Amino acid sequence: MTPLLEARGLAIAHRLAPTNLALNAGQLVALIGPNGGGKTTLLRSLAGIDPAAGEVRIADQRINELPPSRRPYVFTFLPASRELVWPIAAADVIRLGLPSPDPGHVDALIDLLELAPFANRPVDRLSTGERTRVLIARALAPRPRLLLLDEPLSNLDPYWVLRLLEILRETVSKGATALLALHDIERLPAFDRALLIADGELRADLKPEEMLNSQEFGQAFRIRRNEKGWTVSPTADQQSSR
Amino acid sequence: MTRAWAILGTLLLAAALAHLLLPFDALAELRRTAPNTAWLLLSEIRLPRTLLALGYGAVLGLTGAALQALFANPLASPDITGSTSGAALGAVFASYWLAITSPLALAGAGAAGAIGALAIVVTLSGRRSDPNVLLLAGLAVALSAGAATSLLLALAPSPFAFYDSFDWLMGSFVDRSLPQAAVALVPAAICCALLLVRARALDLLALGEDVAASLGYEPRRLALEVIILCSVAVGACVSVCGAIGFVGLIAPYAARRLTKGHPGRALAPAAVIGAVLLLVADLAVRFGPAGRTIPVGVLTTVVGAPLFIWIVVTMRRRVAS
Repeated sequence: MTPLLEARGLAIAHRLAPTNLALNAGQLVALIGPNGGGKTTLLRSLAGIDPAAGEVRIADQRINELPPSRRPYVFTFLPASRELVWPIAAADVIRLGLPSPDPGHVDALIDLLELAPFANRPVDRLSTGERTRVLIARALAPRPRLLLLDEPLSNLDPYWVLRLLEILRETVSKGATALLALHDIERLPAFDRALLIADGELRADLKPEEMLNSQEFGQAFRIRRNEKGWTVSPTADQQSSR
Repeated sequence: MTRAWAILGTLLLAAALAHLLLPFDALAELRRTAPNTAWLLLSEIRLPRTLLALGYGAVLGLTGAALQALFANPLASPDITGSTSGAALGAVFASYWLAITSPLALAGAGAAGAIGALAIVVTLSGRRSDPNVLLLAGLAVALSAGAATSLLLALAPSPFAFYDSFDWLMGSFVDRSLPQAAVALVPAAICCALLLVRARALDLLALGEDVAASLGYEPRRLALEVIILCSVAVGACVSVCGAIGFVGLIAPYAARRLTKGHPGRALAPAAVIGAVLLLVADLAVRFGPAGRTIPVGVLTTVVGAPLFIWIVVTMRRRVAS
């Protein structure tokens, strides 16, 4: 089976070491890593935003050969920034970027993400969490085969963190794939697979539970698990410098 | 939106007809006594003025809307990218220092000035296409070009340069011929059409540059194209009619109220609103104090400045809430 997403030798000087990555259809994948480790850089180069060496193919098509009219059906990208300047109504933001209108689906997404109370309010008047849900609805609107989401869970309250993971699980069960950058390692068990990136290098690609117990994880995050939960653990460098 | 278009279309038609035919008495009198002269008055004097007011207004509205969408800033306008001041500088230099009189050459000098100003803006803001840096660079260039224009006029070989340029630089449509109007409006119309093609990309820019890039639009290339098209359109108009302020700021602001905040969709209605505003302003100037001609650019500034302040106040309220 050809993977849905395939990256070969994807690299950006000083920011991303040559990276190979393949994601199959129907997977919910977490991308974790310490601050500045390269999560956003990897997502952005997969989405074709940052020019990078190497090749990205999604649904067997080179990403830079995908015309704007087809791109939203193949993949969508949620940026880390939730800033929206223009006073456009929330429902209209969801429709932005849809190559052809799909009113039924947009209405369904408004219900699914419980946006109805503020669907007609300008997005610049919404809270960051509300805006996040609007932007997630926009990313879901074209029914893309691949979702590249940068920190979709940040700014969301506990209910919405759990609810969004449910919604993504449902989306993935219909054949889509979602790659999410995230910080909250407690959420890892909800995923099928976890990728660890640190210092611009993909360090591990494991099942979530294996990831949490792996040496690479401990080294990258400088934390370890004990019976009470997580605790800070100094790295080898720090120990040797003492 | 259909109703809004019907209203805008009617307003534009009414404003253009009123601009062409008013004051009507003199025209009617001439038509009775000397029909040929009446026709000449209409086609040689009033028509170019109407076309220029309509076309320049549309250019200002459309380029203003495009630049505001590009910079994600409702206070951006052709003045801010340095286009207007650069064009004025180029045209003044060509006219008073090189003694060029051909309208086409002057339009070329205006466009060259606008593009020169743009080149400096892009060099100043560097490879980083941060809109705010670009905006500041544009402001710096606009101020420098304005100062350089005044200096060139003060030191010009002709002692009357300052007085002489008053009508022109302050923005006026008086005594322009049809070929002059064509020199300004043909390149401007081409640029505006090319800008309209980019309206959808500008709309998607509302989701942020990253999302637009992920959708297959290159924000930096789009920025360069939009700035060049705006510069040429404004440069050609400035070389014939001088600088006119605030229309490029107010028209897009009004247009976005019709497009529910969508910045790209506002391009076409902003062009119509800009045209109506400038037609009405130039009509008002005609009925000013007898014996005195107020340049239409002065009127738009006098009316526009308080509106500008109002926009700043509403923006502050929005931020505060």
